[in-house]
Amino acid sequence: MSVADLAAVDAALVAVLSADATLQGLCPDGVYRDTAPAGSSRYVIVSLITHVTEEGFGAALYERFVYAVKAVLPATTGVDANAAALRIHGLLYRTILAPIAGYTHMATLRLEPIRYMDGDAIDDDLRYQHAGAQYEISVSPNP
Amino acid sequence: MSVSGGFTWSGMKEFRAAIAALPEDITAEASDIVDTTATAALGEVRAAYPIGTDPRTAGQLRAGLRITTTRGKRGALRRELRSESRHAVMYEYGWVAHGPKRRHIPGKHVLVPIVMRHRARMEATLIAILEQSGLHVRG
Repeated sequence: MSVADLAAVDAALVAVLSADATLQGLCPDGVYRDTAPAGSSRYVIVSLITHVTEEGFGAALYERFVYAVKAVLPATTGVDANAAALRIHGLLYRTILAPIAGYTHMATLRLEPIRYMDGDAIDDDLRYQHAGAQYEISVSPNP
Repeated sequence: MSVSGGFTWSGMKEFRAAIAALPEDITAEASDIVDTTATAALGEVRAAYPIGTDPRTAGQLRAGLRITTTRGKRGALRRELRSESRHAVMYEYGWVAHGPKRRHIPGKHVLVPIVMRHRARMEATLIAILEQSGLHVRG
């Protein structure tokens, strides 16, 4: 029975998003797990929401990871953030996520979109747009 | 009660349609499960939300929890747990701390995983009811 490293899926997800030139153009500060370095202003956040292992025949049959993947940009409108979200969707939805150390990718689906604006209580003109979606990634642990 | 028959579903859309087409006594039992699930999820999310210490916002996350109900044909019931406070979405998915050292504050991921867990358990229970009623459910 294999014991695959769950972080391998995080790493594969960050790698595929980081490697795309179009997404880099929209979010030049990079792709990060959970939080971005201080001072970053245009970036992508990948955050694990939940993970479920489906057991059967005495082993893990497959595992489901649900991630929040969103672009964060300072803007008064959602145009650029929505463009980044669309690019993220194009890179992930029903595409093959590979390589993932210890796993074989099965499917990536979108569950719910994420869209909101984060305003500043002091500076009314400073607003951050957050746009992306929850993505469910199913993978099978390699024997 | 005796029900015989069979159907195959390949997705949630088909599953919901199958539930909506069931005899009324089964949909009543299923409705109870949907109801109980929504209430249990609300209780767990409420307990997980912090009250906070800022008097301007204390308790707002908990106070913003709502269950909405939609009734369809033949007793079909949809219960939706919503978190409607102003800061709920930022609490869930994160926000940017403003100021000279702006940085992204990670989301707490409270409501979504709790609801997903309850929904998965509810679906397993509903499938068991269908199978006890003589229907064959194959995913």
